[in-house]
Amino acid sequence: MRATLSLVRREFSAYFLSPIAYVVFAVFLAVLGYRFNETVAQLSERGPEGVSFPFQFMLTDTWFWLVFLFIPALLTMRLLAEERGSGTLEMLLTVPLRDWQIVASKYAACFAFYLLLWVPTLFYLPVLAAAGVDLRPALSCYLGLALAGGMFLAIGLFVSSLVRSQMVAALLSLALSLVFVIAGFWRSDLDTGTFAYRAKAFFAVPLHFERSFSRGIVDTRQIVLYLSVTVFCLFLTVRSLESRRWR
Amino acid sequence: MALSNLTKNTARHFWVRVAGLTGLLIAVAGVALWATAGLWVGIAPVIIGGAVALIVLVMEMAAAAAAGGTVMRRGAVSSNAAGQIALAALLLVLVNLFSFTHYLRFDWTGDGQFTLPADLREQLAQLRDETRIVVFLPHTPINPQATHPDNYDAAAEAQIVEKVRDLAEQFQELGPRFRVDVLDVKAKGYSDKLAELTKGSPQLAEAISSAKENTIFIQSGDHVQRLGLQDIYQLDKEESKKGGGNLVLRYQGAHPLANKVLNVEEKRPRVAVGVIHEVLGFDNNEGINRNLGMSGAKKVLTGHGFEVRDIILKKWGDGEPEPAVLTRDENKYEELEDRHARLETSVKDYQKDYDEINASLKKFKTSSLDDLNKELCIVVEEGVLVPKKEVEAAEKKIGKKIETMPLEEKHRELLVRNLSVQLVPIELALKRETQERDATASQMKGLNVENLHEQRRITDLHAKLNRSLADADLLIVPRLTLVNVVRGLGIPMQVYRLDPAQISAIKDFIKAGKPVLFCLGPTNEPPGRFDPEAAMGDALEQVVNQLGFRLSRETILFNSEVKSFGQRRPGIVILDPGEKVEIPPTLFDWEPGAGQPGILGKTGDKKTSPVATSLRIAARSLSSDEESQFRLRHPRPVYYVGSGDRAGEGKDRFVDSSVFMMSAAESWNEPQPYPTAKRVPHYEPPKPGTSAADSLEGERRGPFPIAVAAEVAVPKSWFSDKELAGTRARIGVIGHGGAFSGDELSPTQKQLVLDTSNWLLGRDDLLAREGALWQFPRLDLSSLGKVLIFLFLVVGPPALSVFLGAIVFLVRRMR
Repeated sequence: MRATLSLVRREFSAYFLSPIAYVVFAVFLAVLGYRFNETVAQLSERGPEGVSFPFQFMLTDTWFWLVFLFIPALLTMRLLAEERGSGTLEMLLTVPLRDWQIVASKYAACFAFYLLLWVPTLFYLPVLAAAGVDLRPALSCYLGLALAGGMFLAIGLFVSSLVRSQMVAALLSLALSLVFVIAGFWRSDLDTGTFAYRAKAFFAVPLHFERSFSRGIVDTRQIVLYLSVTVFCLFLTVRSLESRRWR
Repeated sequence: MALSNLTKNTARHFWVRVAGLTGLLIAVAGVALWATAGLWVGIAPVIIGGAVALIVLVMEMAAAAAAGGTVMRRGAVSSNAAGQIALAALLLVLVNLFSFTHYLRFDWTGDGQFTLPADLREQLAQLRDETRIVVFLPHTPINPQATHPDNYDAAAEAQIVEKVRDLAEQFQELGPRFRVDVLDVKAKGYSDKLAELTKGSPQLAEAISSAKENTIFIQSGDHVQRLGLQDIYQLDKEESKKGGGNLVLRYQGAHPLANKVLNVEEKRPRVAVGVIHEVLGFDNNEGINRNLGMSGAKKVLTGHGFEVRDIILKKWGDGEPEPAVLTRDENKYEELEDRHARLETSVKDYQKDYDEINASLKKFKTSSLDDLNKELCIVVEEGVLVPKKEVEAAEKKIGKKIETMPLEEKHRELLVRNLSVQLVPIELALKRETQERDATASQMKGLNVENLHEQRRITDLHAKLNRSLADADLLIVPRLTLVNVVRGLGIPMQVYRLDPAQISAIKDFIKAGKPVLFCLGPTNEPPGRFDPEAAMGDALEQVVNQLGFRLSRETILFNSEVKSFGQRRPGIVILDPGEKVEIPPTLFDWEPGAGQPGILGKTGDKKTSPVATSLRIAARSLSSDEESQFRLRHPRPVYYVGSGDRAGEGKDRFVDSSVFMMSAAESWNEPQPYPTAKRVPHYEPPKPGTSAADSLEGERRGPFPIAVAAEVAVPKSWFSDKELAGTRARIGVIGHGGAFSGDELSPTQKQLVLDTSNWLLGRDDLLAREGALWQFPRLDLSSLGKVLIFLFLVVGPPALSVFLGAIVFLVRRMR
C-alpha cells in the first residue's frame, strides 16, 4: 500500500514539474473564468434577461467542451506512453507492485490533478450564493464533472498504455473521447421523445450537463455509463500492461 | 512448409484487418449520414447494420485465429486475457443496456422543480394509453391576448418554452407511453416534422392548423386537448418592470397539464348564447351591426377548444316579435322561407302578366285585321280598343249607341309596338324574381335544419328550449340595453322579455346544476316611457334575484360623462351628444371592502373571486395600454348577497369574494341616467342618517361591482316534491349586456370571456393563480465588486498558473 501511495505521490508531483500542467491550468481557468465572467454579467443584468442555472450557462458552451476534451488527453498522454517510449516501463514493472496497482496509482494521480483543476472554481460559489442561486445543482454538477472527467482520463490512460508516442496517445485519446462529446452537438433537431434522441442523449456528455447535472438532476444512466466505461478502460489498461509479460 | 504457412497466416491477418477497418469506415460513414442528412429511417441504418455485421465477422475470425494460434504461440495466458476482455466488454454493454431501460432520476434542486407532485405521478402512472404531448410554437406573445409584445414577452417566451419542455419531459420520465415533441415553426424541417406528427391523426392536424398561439396539444388516439403556455406560467409584467426589471413569472403548477393528460377524452365544452335576435349572437360578423354581436367572443372561445352556438329566442316579423326557439340556421331558414314564399307569389304574378301580354301580342301580330275586327273595335270618344261584346253590353246598359271604328293596320302596328314595350320590364322583373327565388331556395338547402321540422311539431316552447339546451354546458344570456344615454341609443327592455315557458326552461337548466352567465344591462327607460316590468325587474331578473343576486335599478355614470350631458342654463339644458367621452377602464384590482355601502365597507373580506384573481394576474402580463383597453359604458351595479330561498332579503352588504369586476371609482349610481331639458344627471348623495345612505341602492360614489359570480344553492322552491333539491350551480352576472360584444375584443375582454367561461364550467385549473414566483437570480454588484471578481476570479487564476509555470520552467532550465 505504501508503495502504491508512493507511486501516486510521485506521479502527482510529476505534474507540477512539467510546464504542460501549468499550461493546462492556465487555459482551463482562462476559459472557465471567461464563462464565469459572462455568467456574472448575466446575473447582474438589468432587464428581462438572465440565467436560471449558472453552471448550465458556463458549461453549455462549445469552447468549454473543446478545452475539456483536451485536458484528459494532455494529462494522460505521458502516463504510460512516456514510460514506454523512454524504456522505464520495464523498470516500473519490476517494482513490487501488481499491474493493477500501477494502473490505479497512475489513474489516481491524474484524477487527483484533474480534481485540483476544479478547485479554484469553488471560489465562484460564494459569488453565486450572493446572487441567490440555489447551490445544490452545483453539487450535482461537480459530481458529474468528476465522474465524466474520470471516464475520459481512463480512456486516455488506456490509450497511453498502447502506444509509445505521447502525441499519438493524446490524439487517439482525443478521438475516442470525441465520440462521447460530439454526439451532443449533432442532430439538435431530434425530438426528445424519439428513440434516436434517447440513444444519442445516452452517450452525449455535453447533453448530460446541459439537461441534467448542471440543473441539479442526477440520472443513474449517466453515472452507470461513466463508471462502467472507467472500470472497463482501467481493466483494459491492466490487461494491456499484463500483455507485455507474455508477448 | 512452415514458412509458407506463416506467410499465409500473415496474409490472412492482413485481409481480416483490412476488412475490419473497412467495416469501421463504413460504420462511421453511416453514422455521419444519419447525423447530418437525417437518413435514420432510410439508408443509414442499413449501412451501419452492414458495417457492424462486418466488424463482428472480422472479430470472430480474429478470435478464431487467436484461439488456433494459442497453443502454438502465445499460450493459455493470452487466450485467458482475450476471454476476460470479451466478457468485460459484454458486461459493459449489458450493464449499460440495463441502465438505459431501468434508471432513476434524482432531483437535487432546492424546490424540487424537476419533480412532479406525488399525487400526479400516482395518477399518471395508472394511464396505459399512449399519450403524445406536442409543444407547438408559432412564437406569439406569451399572453396571446397581448397586442403590443415587448422584450419581456420575448424573454418570457424563451423561459416558458424551456420550462414547459422540462415539465413535459417529466411526464416522459413516467414511461415510454408519454412522448414529447416540440414543433417550432422557426425550426429547420418544420414542415416535414408537422407532416410526420399529424400523419394518421387528422384531429391533431386540425387542432394545430387552428391554433394561433403557443399551445400544448395532448393527443391520445382520436382525442386532442389543448392548453396555452400561459396556463402553466404567467408573465407578471407589472412585477417584472419594478426595480431592476428582472423577468417575473408565476408558476401555475403541473396540474393544468396533468389534468389535460388525465382527461384527454373529455368532450369540448359547448357554450350556447340565448339572444332575442341573431344580430346579438356569436355568428354576427358582418354588416354595420357586427359590434352588437359576439363574433369576437366566438373567435376566442373556439380558439380555446370551445364549441359555440346561438339560440334565437324571438322570431321577428312584421308585428311584435314572437317567442321562439331557433338555432341560427333555423332562424335563417325561417327568414328565407318567408322570403321564398313572397318571391314565389311575385314570380307567379309576373308570369301571369307576362303570359297575358304575350298572348295579346301574338294575337295582334298573327291574326288578320278582319279576324281582329270581328272581336274588337275602337271606341272613338276614348280612343281605346275594347271587345265588341263589351261595347254592345255598354250600349244596352246606357241605351245609347257608342261610336266605334274598326281597327286599321296603323292601329295594329301601334298596339304591337306598345305591347312589346310593356313586355320588356315584366320579362326582366320575372327573370330577376325567378333568379332570386332560386338563389333563396339554394341558400335554404345549404342550412342545417334537420331538427326544424321536428321542432315545428313541438308547440311547447318549454320543451323546445329544454331540448335545445340539453347538450349545452354553459348558457349565456345577454341583454344589451343602454348604449348612449345622451343620444338615446339603446335597445328597450321590453323586447328582451321572455316567454314564461322560456324562463321555465332556463330554470330547468340551472336546476340541472348547469352554469349560466347573465349579462344584464341597466333597465332604466328614457323619460316619458314607463315600463313597470322594467322598473320592477322582469321574470328573468326575478330568477336571478332568487339565486341570491341583487340587480340594481340604477345605471353607473362616470364623472367624465358629465360634460357630454351638456351645460345647464336657467331653464334649459344644452345637450352635447358629440362630446367625446373618455370612460375609465374597468377594475380587476381593488382594496378589500371596495364598493360596499357606508363606512362598513372599509373593512371588507380579503378573499377575492378566483376569476378576479385570474383576470388581475393576466392583466399584469399585458402592457399598461392594453390592460386599460376594456371600458364599459353604462353598466349597472350587480351584487351577490347570498343564496337560498330568502336570498338577499334586507341585506345591505354584498359578498366581497363574489366580485370579479368593478367600475372605476370616479362614478356614481344614477337612477335617472337620461339627461333631459329639465335635469342633467348628477351625483346627489342621500341625506346622512337616512336608510338610503347605507343601502346598496342608495346613491353613492364608486367603485361598484359590475360583475359577480358565485356557486349558489338552487332555491328549494324551484323543485317539486318529487325532484331532488339541494343542487348547486355556478352563476355569473355581469351588469352590462355588451361585455362580450364586438367583432374584435380587447386583450382584457378576451381574458374575461375565457376566465368567466372556464370558472363557470368548473375548469378552475385553467384560471391563473398567484402561484409561486419565479425570477432570474440577480447579483447587485458595485463597480469595485465587478473589478475584484474580474481580478481574482477571472484573470487571476490563469495568470497565476502562467506565473508558476514560468517559474518551474526557469528552475528546470537552471538544472
